[in-house]
Amino acid sequence: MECEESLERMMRALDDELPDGEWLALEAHLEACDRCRARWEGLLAAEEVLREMPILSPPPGFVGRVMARVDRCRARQHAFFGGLALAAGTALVILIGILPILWTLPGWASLAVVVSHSGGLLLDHLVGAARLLLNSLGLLAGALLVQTLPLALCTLMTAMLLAGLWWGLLRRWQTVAT
Amino acid sequence: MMDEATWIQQAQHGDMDAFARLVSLYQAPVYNLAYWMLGERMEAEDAAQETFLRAFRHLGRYDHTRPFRTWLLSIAAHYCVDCIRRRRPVLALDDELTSEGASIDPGDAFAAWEARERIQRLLLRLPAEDRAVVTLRYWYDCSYEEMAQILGTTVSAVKSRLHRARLALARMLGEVGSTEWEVGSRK
Repeated sequence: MECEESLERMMRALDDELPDGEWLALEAHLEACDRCRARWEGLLAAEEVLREMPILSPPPGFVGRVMARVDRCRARQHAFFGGLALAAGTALVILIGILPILWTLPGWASLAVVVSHSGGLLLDHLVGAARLLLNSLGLLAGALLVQTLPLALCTLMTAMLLAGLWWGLLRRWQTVAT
Repeated sequence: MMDEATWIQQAQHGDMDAFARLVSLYQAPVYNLAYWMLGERMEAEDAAQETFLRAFRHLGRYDHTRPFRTWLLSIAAHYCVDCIRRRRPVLALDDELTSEGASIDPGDAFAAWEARERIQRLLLRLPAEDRAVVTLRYWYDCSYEEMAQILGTTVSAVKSRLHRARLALARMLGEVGSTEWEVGSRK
């Protein structure tokens, strides 16, 4: 038996996976080869040390500390989604408030005409409808920019302010709680 | 009496008591893996806490066909390997590997402490992945297949790592001269 093969058999022997026949052949090789015998003795010594690995107890209060971290993680998740919902809700309410103003803008009327006419004749007049659609969207965008930009900015800032206040309050509550 | 599968399902539906039971059930295996891999109690506790926190965050993705222990130890092993890789440059400055990292617990018996220190000093000289394989094999009695699942590698890679680690540990124990251990050097 070659030394390489004997090493492979030693590893299988340590795993209790070496058949008796192969074990006998390994034993015979170990008798004859000083280097492999020294190796085997070393492996057995390492095996003995590794089998001694003691079981350590986690520090007292470990579960409580883990659950406290989990609770903080959940609170952060709730705070994030709460802030998001608050910002979205605020933006929606303000947009509903300004919808009547938007409806009076010139772009809306032509957009509605394009949509109603192109519904049945979409294939025949696709190109024309698309051009009209783009034109009306351009008109609408221009009107929106001129007339509602301040309102949109105001909406955004209000939503951000409220979300910031929400975050601040939550952080304060969490600090007090911990 | 409720079992582990029920606790997992309840925890997935947001039941914190069920998750706390899972933490309580697996705290020792996760903590021990972290300790034997990282070699320092404070760092081991932090890694074990982080493991449970990550498990909680990704509980929705847990595959029920896989053993929960394997899934949890996989999170812990990968986290510890990352920790070891991050701190490697610092450790390289202190190659003597003194026992300063492990504080002596007055409550432990001296013999147990000595055995732990001895093993830990040996383990700390192995590469991170080899350390994980040795811990999973000798502490958890994992099969090669389970170790491969936990470490996200193949059975042959795990075998190769374990063989390499055994040889390295045997060499460290100084039973024979290091020249005897050169694998593949002979004709």
